[in-house]
Amino acid sequence: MRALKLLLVLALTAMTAACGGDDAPPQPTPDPQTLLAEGITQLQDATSFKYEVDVSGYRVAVSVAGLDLPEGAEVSFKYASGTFQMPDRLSARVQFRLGVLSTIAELVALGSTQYFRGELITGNRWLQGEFLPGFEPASLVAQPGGVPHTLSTIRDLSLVGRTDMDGLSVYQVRGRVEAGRIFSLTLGLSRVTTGLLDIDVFIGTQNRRVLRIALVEPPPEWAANSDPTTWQINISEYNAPVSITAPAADGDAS
Amino acid sequence: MTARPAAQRAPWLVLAIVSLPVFIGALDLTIISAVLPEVIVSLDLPVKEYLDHASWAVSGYLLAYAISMTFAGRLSDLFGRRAVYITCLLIFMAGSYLVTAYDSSTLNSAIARFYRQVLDEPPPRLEERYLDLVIFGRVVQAFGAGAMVPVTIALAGDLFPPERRARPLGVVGAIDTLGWVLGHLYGGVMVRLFGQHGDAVVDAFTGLGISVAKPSWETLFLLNIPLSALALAGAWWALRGIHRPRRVGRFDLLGTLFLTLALIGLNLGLGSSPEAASTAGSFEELGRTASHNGPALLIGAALAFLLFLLVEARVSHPLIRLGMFRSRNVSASSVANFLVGFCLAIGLVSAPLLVNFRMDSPTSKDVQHAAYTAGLLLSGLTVPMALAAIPGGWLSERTGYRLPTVLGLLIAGIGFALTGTTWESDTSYWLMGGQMALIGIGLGLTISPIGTAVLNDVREDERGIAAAMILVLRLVGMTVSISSLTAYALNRFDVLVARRMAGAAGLEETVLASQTASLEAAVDAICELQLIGAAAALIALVAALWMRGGRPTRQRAPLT
Repeated sequence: MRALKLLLVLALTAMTAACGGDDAPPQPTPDPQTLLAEGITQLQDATSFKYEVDVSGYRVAVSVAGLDLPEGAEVSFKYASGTFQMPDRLSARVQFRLGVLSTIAELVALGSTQYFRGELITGNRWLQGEFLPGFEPASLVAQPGGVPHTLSTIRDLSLVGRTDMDGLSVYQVRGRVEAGRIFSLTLGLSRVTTGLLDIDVFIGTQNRRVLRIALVEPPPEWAANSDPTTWQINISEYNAPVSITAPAADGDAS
Repeated sequence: MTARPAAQRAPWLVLAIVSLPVFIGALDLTIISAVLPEVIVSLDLPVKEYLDHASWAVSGYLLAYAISMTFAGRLSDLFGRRAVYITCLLIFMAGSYLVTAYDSSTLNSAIARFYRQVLDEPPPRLEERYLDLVIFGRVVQAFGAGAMVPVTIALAGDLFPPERRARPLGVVGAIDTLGWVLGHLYGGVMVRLFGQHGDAVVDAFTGLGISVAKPSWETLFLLNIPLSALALAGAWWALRGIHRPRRVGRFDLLGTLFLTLALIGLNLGLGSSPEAASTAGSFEELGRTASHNGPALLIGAALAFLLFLLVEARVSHPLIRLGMFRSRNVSASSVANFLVGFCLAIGLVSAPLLVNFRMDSPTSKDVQHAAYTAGLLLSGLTVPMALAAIPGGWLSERTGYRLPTVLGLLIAGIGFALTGTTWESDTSYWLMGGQMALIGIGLGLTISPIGTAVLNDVREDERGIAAAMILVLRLVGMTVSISSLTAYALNRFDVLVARRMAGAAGLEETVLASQTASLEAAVDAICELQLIGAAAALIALVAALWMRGGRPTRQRAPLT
């Protein structure tokens, strides 16, 4: 019950706000390369995980050829939250902006078969068809090209330090990654394809799992004075029991 | 020679000073109803998916406002008007600030920490936490704002002798009503002005060497702070020398607690969203918001209410003396008043919903224009309602309470029936406004006779609590209406869209069909709400028939 939980959370949040201390004894500083390697292994070996992508700063335009849009309106990506189940299943909710308004589309992908629905695009009916042309969930962890592989290509690694990430004790590892390699991280929506981008990876101090990836993408040349696009990718719920199945589709989009 | 305190020299001035925050607090009751979609949009959330969640910014305020009204008067009896009033004002100011501090990294981090460390689950996404903090700030605001009303009513009792008390009591009630009547219009107009002239405001401040953000809906809440600070200084001065009542009896803590639990349980139970369950599909995230707790919460609310009645029947100084309901006028008026609040909320929710569904394009300018149009349309309901309170009082004096109440509810019922059967996706705003005015006139006619019937039938020393009860019952009717009908309308919307889309096949056909289906389904769902309003007005009419007819023997100034 969302409203009940909200009341409970807000009432008790004040009491726990100051409880972020970490009493663990000091430990030797780990090597960033080793830390990242451990994180990559955990991600690669996970049977399932939750993958959340949030974009802020300069908008990430999405091509929607053929859709009749109001004048001045543009479709852009805002947020996606999905669950990946090994080896090739994914369910996700994707939030797009149409002008200043947002709408949500849902996607279930089982191998190369996709189902999708959305208020504006299908009147909330599940349809079978290509929502993301050519996308297969397995590509998220594919070798090469998947998220673990992209993380393994980060160069100039350094350990920023140990920090608190909203109640989670994490190591912050910083480096640079080739823009051409972030396709899987950004669900194929990033603009830049060349050059090096700054990237931060947050790895749990206890479980050594990759919990957050933060990526900064510069704005396009014609909007050089704008804020950069910041991609925040949260990975959680490793190995949680999930069962992603095909929804009952109401029709075929093809 | 020592100067007499302001309370003795100029009681009307004191009442005016303490009524300013009452007006601002009441203004905030409805300020957000017209701009709610603008708030959701500015938080980067999808309007349809989060409307149910965001409606707690309206109903949470109403609920907290009503709850704090039930006990604050009694608190001020025990701890002094000045101390309680000033504390309430400070709480209102703190809440107003909290609404604008939704993006505070400290608060958001604290919520995330709580989810991880206490609930052992991932925190909601940042934008959801923003929305939760807006709602939380609104609830804090409302606790302060609602509590100021009965304290001010009690102050009117302190400032004026019994034979001159009726007018100031009526004035406080009128100020409270005027606030929420104007709130949505003020919100809609201001947000539109901010959109049109926001850059000019920023430039003007920059010219003075002051850097400010472009004004937006948040500015509405920030403006409360300096206004309340002025009122605080005024109240500090004006309430010096106010007679501190002798402590009589004890505060009915248990009764207050059970009543609060009953009201919260009722609203949460009714507000649990069947829509969330129906769209859950295979997504665990949506499944968490399912409505299976609804019946349990409603049973809990009923139990808490029974315990409240039990406590009130037994304690020596109850929050509400149950004996007052033995009067036919009090009991019939209470039922009718609750349903008037229920109907009123339907009018307040329907117009902004329809306006936003009819929006031409998803640009920032259009969202702000929609808020402005919704504000104007709502005025078509509330301004006639406030004006109709005057003939309602006049009729009540000459014919008794029953006739104007029954007449008003009949007119409101006809108005709801007309809107429910004639609104289409392209109905002109003029026609809609005219029909809303009919509903407003009908509901307005009932306000004065219902209020006066209760005030004239309770004991002299119960008039303060009775005056507060009239306002509380109407507010509870409104919160019950909003929390239950928002969920109902969204659920019906999905069902109606699915029904209209049944024949569509293929992507292109489905996309085209869904665009038309959404607007048509929204209009149909809103029309169903109006018909529910007509039914509620009819039930209220039956209750009003139970009121005593004939000219009243004692008449006091009408309470609006």
